[in-house]
Amino acid sequence: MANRTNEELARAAASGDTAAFEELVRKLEPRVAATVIGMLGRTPEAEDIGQETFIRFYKSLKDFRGECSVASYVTRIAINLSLNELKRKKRETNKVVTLDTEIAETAATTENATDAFENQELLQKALDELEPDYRTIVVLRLVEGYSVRETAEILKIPEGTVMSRLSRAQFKLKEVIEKLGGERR
Amino acid sequence: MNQNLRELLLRSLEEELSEQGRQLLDKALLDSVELREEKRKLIKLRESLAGSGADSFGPFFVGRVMTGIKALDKRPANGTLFFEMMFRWFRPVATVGLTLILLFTVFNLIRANDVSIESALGISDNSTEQIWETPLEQYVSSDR
Repeated sequence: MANRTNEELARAAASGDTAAFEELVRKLEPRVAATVIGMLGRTPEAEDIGQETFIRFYKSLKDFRGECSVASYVTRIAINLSLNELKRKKRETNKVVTLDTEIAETAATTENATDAFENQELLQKALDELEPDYRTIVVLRLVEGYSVRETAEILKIPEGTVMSRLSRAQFKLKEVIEKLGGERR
Repeated sequence: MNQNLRELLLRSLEEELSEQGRQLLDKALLDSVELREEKRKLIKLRESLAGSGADSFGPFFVGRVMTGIKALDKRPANGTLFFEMMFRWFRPVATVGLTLILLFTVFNLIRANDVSIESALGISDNSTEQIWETPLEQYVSSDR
Protein backbone atom coordinates (compact mmCIF):
# COMPACT_ATOMS: atom_id res chain seq x y z
CA MET A 1 0.00 0.00 0.00
CA ALA A 2 1.62 3.22 -1.12
CA ASN A 3 1.42 6.74 0.34
CA ARG A 4 -0.32 5.91 3.58
CA THR A 5 -0.54 8.80 6.03
CA ASN A 6 1.35 8.72 9.31
CA GLU A 7 -1.92 8.17 11.15
CA GLU A 8 -2.84 5.18 8.95
CA LEU A 9 0.60 3.71 9.42
CA ALA A 10 0.38 4.20 13.19
CA ARG A 11 -2.99 2.41 13.29
CA ALA A 12 -1.61 -0.47 11.23
CA ALA A 13 1.48 -0.68 13.43
CA ALA A 14 -0.68 -0.71 16.55
CA SER A 15 -2.46 -3.77 15.22
CA GLY A 16 0.85 -5.58 14.75
CA ASP A 17 1.97 -4.55 11.26
CA THR A 18 5.73 -4.23 11.76
CA ALA A 19 6.29 -3.21 8.14
CA ALA A 20 3.98 -0.24 8.68
CA PHE A 21 6.01 0.79 11.70
CA GLU A 22 9.22 0.49 9.69
CA GLU A 23 7.75 2.79 7.05
CA LEU A 24 6.77 5.22 9.78
CA VAL A 25 10.31 5.24 11.18
CA ARG A 26 11.64 5.91 7.68
CA LYS A 27 9.22 8.81 7.22
CA LEU A 28 9.78 10.36 10.64
CA GLU A 29 13.54 9.89 10.90
CA PRO A 30 14.36 13.31 9.34
CA ARG A 31 12.07 15.10 11.78
CA VAL A 32 13.35 13.22 14.81
CA ALA A 33 16.97 13.65 13.66
CA ALA A 34 16.47 17.41 13.27
CA THR A 35 14.99 17.61 16.76
CA VAL A 36 17.46 15.42 18.59
CA ILE A 37 20.59 16.61 16.79
CA GLY A 38 19.36 20.19 17.11
CA MET A 39 19.03 19.68 20.85
CA LEU A 40 22.13 17.58 21.52
CA GLY A 41 24.39 18.25 18.57
CA ARG A 42 25.96 15.45 16.55
CA THR A 43 26.97 13.43 19.57
CA PRO A 44 27.11 9.65 20.01
CA GLU A 45 24.13 9.93 22.35
CA ALA A 46 21.98 11.59 19.69
CA GLU A 47 21.45 8.37 17.75
CA ASP A 48 20.68 6.45 20.95
CA ILE A 49 18.06 9.04 21.82
CA GLY A 50 16.70 8.76 18.27
CA GLN A 51 16.32 4.99 18.65
CA GLU A 52 14.83 5.33 22.11
CA THR A 53 12.31 7.82 20.72
CA PHE A 54 10.97 5.28 18.24
CA ILE A 55 11.04 2.45 20.77
CA ARG A 56 9.02 4.56 23.23
CA PHE A 57 6.64 5.46 20.43
CA TYR A 58 6.23 1.78 19.52
CA LYS A 59 5.48 0.90 23.15
CA SER A 60 2.88 3.66 23.38
CA LEU A 61 1.19 2.95 20.02
CA LYS A 62 -1.78 1.31 21.66
CA ASP A 63 -2.30 4.32 23.93
CA PHE A 64 -2.01 6.84 21.10
CA ARG A 65 -5.46 8.42 20.78
CA GLY A 66 -4.71 10.74 17.91
CA GLU A 67 -5.21 13.92 19.95
CA CYS A 68 -2.35 15.44 17.99
CA SER A 69 -0.58 14.41 14.79
CA VAL A 70 1.75 11.42 14.87
CA ALA A 71 4.66 13.68 13.92
CA SER A 72 3.95 16.06 16.82
CA TYR A 73 3.56 13.13 19.20
CA VAL A 74 6.90 11.62 18.18
CA THR A 75 8.56 15.05 18.29
CA ARG A 76 7.29 15.50 21.85
CA ILE A 77 8.85 12.17 22.85
CA ALA A 78 12.12 13.21 21.15
CA ILE A 79 12.12 16.58 22.94
CA ASN A 80 11.45 15.02 26.34
CA LEU A 81 14.16 12.42 25.91
CA SER A 82 16.60 15.08 24.69
CA LEU A 83 15.85 17.29 27.68
CA ASN A 84 16.41 14.31 30.00
CA GLU A 85 19.70 13.63 28.28
CA LEU A 86 20.75 17.27 28.68
CA LYS A 87 19.89 17.09 32.39
CA ARG A 88 21.87 13.87 32.74
CA LYS A 89 24.85 15.40 30.96
CA LYS A 90 24.69 18.49 33.12
CA ARG A 91 24.75 16.34 36.23
CA GLU A 92 27.62 14.24 34.93
CA THR A 93 29.88 16.92 33.61
CA ASN A 94 30.56 20.04 35.48
CA LYS A 95 31.82 21.75 32.40
CA VAL A 96 35.33 22.81 33.28
CA VAL A 97 36.22 23.44 29.67
CA THR A 98 33.61 26.04 28.85
CA LEU A 99 31.87 26.17 25.55
CA ASP A 100 33.25 29.65 25.10
CA THR A 101 36.67 28.15 24.49
CA GLU A 102 35.28 25.73 21.94
CA ILE A 103 33.30 28.47 20.29
CA ALA A 104 36.31 30.75 20.12
CA GLU A 105 38.20 27.99 18.36
CA THR A 106 35.42 27.59 15.86
CA ALA A 107 35.17 31.31 15.38
CA ALA A 108 38.84 31.49 14.57
CA THR A 109 38.04 29.86 11.26
CA THR A 110 35.25 32.33 10.56
CA GLU A 111 36.11 35.12 8.18
CA ASN A 112 33.74 37.83 9.36
CA ALA A 113 30.55 38.50 11.26
CA THR A 114 28.26 37.83 8.30
CA ASP A 115 29.93 34.51 7.59
CA ALA A 116 29.52 33.68 11.25
CA PHE A 117 25.75 33.61 10.78
CA GLU A 118 26.19 31.04 8.01
CA ASN A 119 28.70 28.87 9.86
CA GLN A 120 26.70 25.76 10.83
CA GLU A 121 29.19 24.57 13.40
CA LEU A 122 29.14 27.95 15.06
CA LEU A 123 25.36 28.01 14.95
CA GLN A 124 25.21 24.64 16.71
CA LYS A 125 27.63 25.79 19.38
CA ALA A 126 25.68 28.99 19.88
CA LEU A 127 22.55 26.84 20.22
CA ASP A 128 24.34 24.78 22.86
CA GLU A 129 24.83 28.00 24.81
CA LEU A 130 21.08 28.47 25.14
CA GLU A 131 19.16 27.19 28.13
CA PRO A 132 17.36 23.93 27.22
CA ASP A 133 13.92 25.57 27.32
CA TYR A 134 15.00 28.23 24.84
CA ARG A 135 16.88 25.76 22.68
CA THR A 136 13.77 23.61 22.42
CA ILE A 137 11.78 26.54 21.07
CA VAL A 138 14.45 27.48 18.54
CA VAL A 139 14.78 23.90 17.31
CA LEU A 140 11.05 23.42 16.91
CA ARG A 141 10.16 26.82 15.49
CA LEU A 142 13.21 27.85 13.50
CA VAL A 143 15.03 24.62 12.65
CA GLU A 144 12.05 22.34 12.10
CA GLY A 145 9.66 25.04 10.99
CA TYR A 146 6.71 24.28 13.26
CA SER A 147 4.39 27.25 13.67
CA VAL A 148 4.18 29.06 16.99
CA ARG A 149 0.85 27.36 17.66
CA GLU A 150 2.22 23.88 16.86
CA THR A 151 5.29 24.53 19.00
CA ALA A 152 3.03 25.56 21.86
CA GLU A 153 0.95 22.39 21.40
CA ILE A 154 3.97 20.10 21.33
CA LEU A 155 5.44 21.65 24.47
CA LYS A 156 2.06 22.19 26.11
CA ILE A 157 2.82 25.81 26.93
CA PRO A 158 0.98 29.03 25.97
CA GLU A 159 1.73 30.65 22.62
CA GLY A 160 2.78 33.83 24.42
CA THR A 161 5.49 31.89 26.24
CA VAL A 162 6.72 30.49 22.93
CA MET A 163 6.90 34.00 21.48
CA SER A 164 8.73 35.50 24.43
CA ARG A 165 11.22 32.64 24.65
CA LEU A 166 11.74 32.75 20.92
CA SER A 167 12.43 36.46 21.10
CA ARG A 168 14.97 36.12 23.90
CA ALA A 169 16.58 33.09 22.29
CA GLN A 170 17.12 34.86 18.98
CA PHE A 171 18.72 37.89 20.59
CA LYS A 172 20.96 35.65 22.65
CA LEU A 173 21.96 33.64 19.59
CA LYS A 174 22.67 36.81 17.63
CA GLU A 175 24.77 38.22 20.45
CA VAL A 176 26.85 35.06 20.78
CA ILE A 177 27.45 34.82 17.06
CA GLU A 178 28.23 38.53 16.72
CA LYS A 179 30.68 38.35 19.58
CA LEU A 180 32.49 35.47 17.99
CA GLY A 181 32.44 36.98 14.54
CA GLY A 182 33.77 40.21 16.02
CA GLU A 183 36.57 38.45 17.89
CA ARG A 184 37.93 37.19 14.63
CA ARG A 185 38.18 40.65 13.06
CA MET B 1 18.27 50.65 20.57
CA ASN B 2 14.72 50.81 21.82
CA GLN B 3 13.79 47.42 23.29
CA ASN B 4 10.17 47.78 22.22
CA LEU B 5 11.24 48.32 18.63
CA ARG B 6 13.42 45.21 18.78
CA GLU B 7 10.48 43.21 20.08
CA LEU B 8 8.28 44.65 17.38
CA LEU B 9 10.87 43.75 14.79
CA LEU B 10 10.92 40.14 15.99
CA ARG B 11 7.16 39.96 16.07
CA SER B 12 7.07 41.19 12.49
CA LEU B 13 9.13 38.14 11.52
CA GLU B 14 6.61 35.85 13.20
CA GLU B 15 3.24 37.35 12.48
CA GLU B 16 1.33 40.08 10.69
CA LEU B 17 1.56 43.29 12.70
CA SER B 18 -1.37 45.60 13.29
CA GLU B 19 -1.57 48.60 10.99
CA GLN B 20 -0.27 50.85 13.76
CA GLY B 21 2.56 48.49 14.65
CA ARG B 22 3.60 48.12 11.02
CA GLN B 23 3.69 51.88 10.48
CA LEU B 24 5.73 52.37 13.66
CA LEU B 25 8.24 49.73 12.61
CA ASP B 26 8.50 51.00 9.03
CA LYS B 27 9.24 54.49 10.26
CA ALA B 28 11.81 53.21 12.76
CA LEU B 29 13.48 51.14 10.06
CA LEU B 30 13.70 54.19 7.80
CA ASP B 31 15.21 56.29 10.56
CA SER B 32 17.62 53.79 12.10
CA VAL B 33 20.53 52.15 10.31
CA GLU B 34 21.12 50.11 13.45
CA LEU B 35 17.61 48.64 13.36
CA ARG B 36 17.93 47.84 9.66
CA GLU B 37 21.20 46.02 10.42
CA GLU B 38 19.49 44.20 13.27
CA LYS B 39 16.73 43.07 10.93
CA ARG B 40 19.22 41.89 8.32
CA LYS B 41 21.14 39.83 10.88
CA LEU B 42 18.02 38.29 12.36
CA ILE B 43 16.79 37.25 8.93
CA LYS B 44 20.20 35.76 8.17
CA LEU B 45 20.17 33.90 11.47
CA ARG B 46 16.71 32.50 10.83
CA GLU B 47 17.64 31.41 7.32
CA SER B 48 20.75 29.68 8.56
CA LEU B 49 18.83 27.93 11.34
CA ALA B 50 16.16 26.82 8.89
CA GLY B 51 18.82 25.15 6.77
CA SER B 52 20.73 23.68 9.68
CA GLY B 53 18.47 20.75 10.54
CA ALA B 54 19.99 17.28 10.28
CA ASP B 55 17.83 14.97 8.20
CA SER B 56 19.26 11.62 9.22
CA PHE B 57 20.99 9.80 12.02
CA GLY B 58 23.20 8.11 9.47
CA PRO B 59 23.03 4.90 7.49
CA PHE B 60 21.17 1.83 8.79
CA PHE B 61 19.33 3.78 11.48
CA VAL B 62 15.95 2.32 10.52
CA GLY B 63 17.43 -1.19 10.62
CA ARG B 64 18.80 -0.63 14.10
CA VAL B 65 15.46 0.67 15.35
CA MET B 66 13.65 -2.34 13.89
CA THR B 67 16.16 -4.72 15.49
CA GLY B 68 15.38 -3.06 18.82
CA ILE B 69 11.64 -3.39 18.17
CA LYS B 70 11.94 -7.08 17.28
CA ALA B 71 13.98 -7.72 20.43
CA LEU B 72 11.21 -5.97 22.34
CA ASP B 73 8.57 -8.21 20.79
CA LYS B 74 10.52 -11.34 21.72
CA ARG B 75 10.51 -10.40 25.39
CA PRO B 76 7.93 -12.39 27.32
CA ALA B 77 4.75 -10.79 28.57
CA ASN B 78 4.43 -9.82 32.25
CA GLY B 79 2.63 -13.06 33.25
CA THR B 80 5.24 -15.21 31.58
CA LEU B 81 7.92 -13.11 33.18
CA PHE B 82 6.47 -13.87 36.66
CA PHE B 83 6.64 -17.66 36.13
CA GLU B 84 10.08 -17.34 34.59
CA MET B 85 11.26 -15.50 37.68
CA MET B 86 9.68 -18.12 39.97
CA PHE B 87 11.41 -20.87 38.02
CA ARG B 88 14.73 -19.05 38.11
CA TRP B 89 14.60 -18.35 41.86
CA PHE B 90 13.08 -21.66 43.04
CA ARG B 91 16.30 -23.68 42.85
CA PRO B 92 18.59 -21.31 44.83
CA VAL B 93 15.90 -20.61 47.43
CA ALA B 94 15.17 -24.36 47.83
CA THR B 95 18.88 -25.15 48.15
CA VAL B 96 19.40 -22.54 50.86
CA GLY B 97 16.26 -23.76 52.69
CA LEU B 98 17.37 -27.40 52.66
CA THR B 99 20.84 -26.47 53.85
CA LEU B 100 19.37 -24.53 56.79
CA ILE B 101 17.09 -27.47 57.73
CA LEU B 102 20.05 -29.84 57.62
CA LEU B 103 22.18 -27.57 59.79
CA PHE B 104 19.31 -27.16 62.26
CA THR B 105 18.86 -30.96 62.46
CA VAL B 106 22.56 -31.56 63.07
CA PHE B 107 22.60 -28.81 65.70
CA ASN B 108 19.61 -30.41 67.51
CA LEU B 109 21.20 -33.87 67.44
CA ILE B 110 24.47 -32.59 68.85
CA ARG B 111 22.67 -30.56 71.53
CA ALA B 112 20.46 -33.47 72.63
CA ASN B 113 23.34 -35.97 72.43
CA ASP B 114 20.78 -38.50 71.25
CA VAL B 115 19.95 -39.88 67.83
CA SER B 116 16.20 -39.86 67.41
CA ILE B 117 13.61 -38.17 65.27
CA GLU B 118 12.41 -36.14 68.25
CA SER B 119 15.93 -34.91 68.95
CA ALA B 120 16.52 -34.15 65.31
CA LEU B 121 13.34 -32.11 65.12
CA GLY B 122 14.03 -30.46 68.48
CA ILE B 123 10.78 -31.71 69.99
CA SER B 124 10.71 -31.22 73.73
CA ASP B 125 10.11 -34.16 76.10
CA ASN B 126 7.69 -31.98 78.06
CA SER B 127 4.07 -31.91 77.04
CA THR B 128 2.31 -28.59 76.53
CA GLU B 129 0.33 -29.12 79.75
CA GLN B 130 3.54 -29.65 81.69
CA ILE B 131 5.00 -26.47 80.30
CA TRP B 132 1.93 -24.45 81.29
CA GLU B 133 1.77 -25.99 84.73
CA THR B 134 5.39 -25.31 85.58
CA PRO B 135 5.67 -21.97 87.39
CA LEU B 136 7.67 -19.37 85.54
CA GLU B 137 9.91 -18.82 88.59
CA GLN B 138 11.21 -22.32 88.22
CA TYR B 139 12.53 -21.59 84.75
CA VAL B 140 13.98 -18.32 85.92
CA SER B 141 15.70 -19.88 88.96
CA SER B 142 16.95 -22.85 86.96
CA ASP B 143 18.48 -20.43 84.44
CA ARG B 144 20.43 -18.79 87.25
